Amino acid sequence: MSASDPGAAPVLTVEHLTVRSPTRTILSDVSLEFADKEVTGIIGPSGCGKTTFIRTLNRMIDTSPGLRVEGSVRYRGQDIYGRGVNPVLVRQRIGMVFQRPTVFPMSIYENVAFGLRLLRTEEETVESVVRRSLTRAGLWNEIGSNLDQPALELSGGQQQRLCIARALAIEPKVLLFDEPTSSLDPIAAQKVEELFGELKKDYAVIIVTHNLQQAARVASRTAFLYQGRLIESGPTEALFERPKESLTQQYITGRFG
Amino acid sequence: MALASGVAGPANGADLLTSTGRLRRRLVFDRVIGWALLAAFLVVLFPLFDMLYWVSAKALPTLTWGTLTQNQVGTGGGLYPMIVGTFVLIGIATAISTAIGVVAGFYTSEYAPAPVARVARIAGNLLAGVPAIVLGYFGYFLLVIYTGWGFTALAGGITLGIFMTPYIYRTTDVALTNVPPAQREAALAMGSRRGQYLVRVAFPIAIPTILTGIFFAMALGLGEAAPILYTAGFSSTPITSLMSPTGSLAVAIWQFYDFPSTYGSFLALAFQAAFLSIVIVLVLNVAVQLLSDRYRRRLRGLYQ
Repeated sequence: MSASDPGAAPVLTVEHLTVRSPTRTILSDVSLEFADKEVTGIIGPSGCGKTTFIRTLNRMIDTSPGLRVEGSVRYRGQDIYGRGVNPVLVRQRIGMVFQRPTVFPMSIYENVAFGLRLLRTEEETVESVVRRSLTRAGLWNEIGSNLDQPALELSGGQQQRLCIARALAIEPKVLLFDEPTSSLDPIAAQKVEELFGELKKDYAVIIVTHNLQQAARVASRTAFLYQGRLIESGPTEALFERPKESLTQQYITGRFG
Repeated sequence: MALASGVAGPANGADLLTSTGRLRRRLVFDRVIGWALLAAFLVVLFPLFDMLYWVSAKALPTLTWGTLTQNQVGTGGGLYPMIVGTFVLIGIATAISTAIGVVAGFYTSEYAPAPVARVARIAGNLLAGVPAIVLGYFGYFLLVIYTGWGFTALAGGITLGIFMTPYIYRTTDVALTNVPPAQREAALAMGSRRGQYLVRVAFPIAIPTILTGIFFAMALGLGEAAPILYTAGFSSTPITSLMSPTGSLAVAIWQFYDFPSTYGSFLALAFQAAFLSIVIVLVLNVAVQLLSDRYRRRLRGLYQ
């Protein structure tokens, strides 16, 4: 499916992924690969299973009781649903940023240091990592001099970028974004969006969005989900300009969704 | 002027901004309900103020510095041993009930499988519903008779602790369960284990509520005579060790109030003990407000 990037082994490989709730099938037989140092967009109408899908990629799905996962998600060849795999370690390597900013009620500094404290990192290292992470999230110039300020006092857009900095601090290999700008005003959203160009230099970035323009702007590959099925995936340009499936064609031209 | 077909707007020409007809009747009704609610509120407040007035009126005229510093002598003297005893008993009880209640709350809010949590919550509610005197007898048989300790401050403190535990457990459980789920998601997505989430994220958020629960339990425990009556016993001299009996304000009220009025100053001591209990509860209340406000300030913006 990802014949366009020969040689580069995918970071994440999803095979025959099916997720069922007691009453219905939320995702059925999704297979998809994610390459390193690339932004992949997941698009689809509300209720298509985008959020469930991205939550299977770092086992956050475990926190929703009653959902059964079949198939496999391999991170660098290792099935994250395999026997003996610790979801805590999976999530340290595959970070996640949510739809609404979820800063902790602590100082800016402690928010970014949160993951490092879990890993019992030395304070000297923590300081430099906090600085580097805030810089990479485009926040250092804005709030670098107020690190003791409570994070909840920041604006929504700043909070969201703080969440990105927090995720970056523990050096994940993959970053998952679940509608990262949908709760932000246009200017704050743009600032978050501008980060993706930088982030993809170091990480595999996967972003769920219902904003088609956003997918077109930031993603080099795009996958279209509809009613729990993967309808089509490929290079973003091709998917938007020459969709192979008529459902894709209908969705991107705004005939439903 | 009637409104055409019930739709607000000019009927013919003039646009009335004063209410008439049905709308006017509704406004009157609204006001009547407001007065009725105020009346109900006053009815609730009346017993409180009546009690405060009655206790103060009987206690204040005879209240002296000696009441706080002297031992009880015969039918008079002061309440010093009972004040100290009350603080010792509440101290032991708070330590025990906070330790058990908070840990149990941690367990059911995060770790316990749903059916276990459900049973634990029901058990907690049941324990809160057990009459204090029954707990008192439980403590008496277990900690006074069975252990052979006799009446001791320790037995009283433990029994009072059991009495206070369900309140602290319940507030801890609720406070932790009510932490916004997004906080849990974010912590777990950062690679927290559940225990790390509890200690580093949920507990700091829940602290103001947990503190309120602890102080509420202390205030309740302060007023209870039944759990300590047959466990801590009574003494009119200051406590010498945890293994000796001790007086307390609650039991002092219970004991002294029942004497016939010919023993005059006993009754005064009972009212003074009641007055001091009320003052301590009041101070506790103000303290917890100030303390939890300080913690709450940190959380501004979290629940939006």
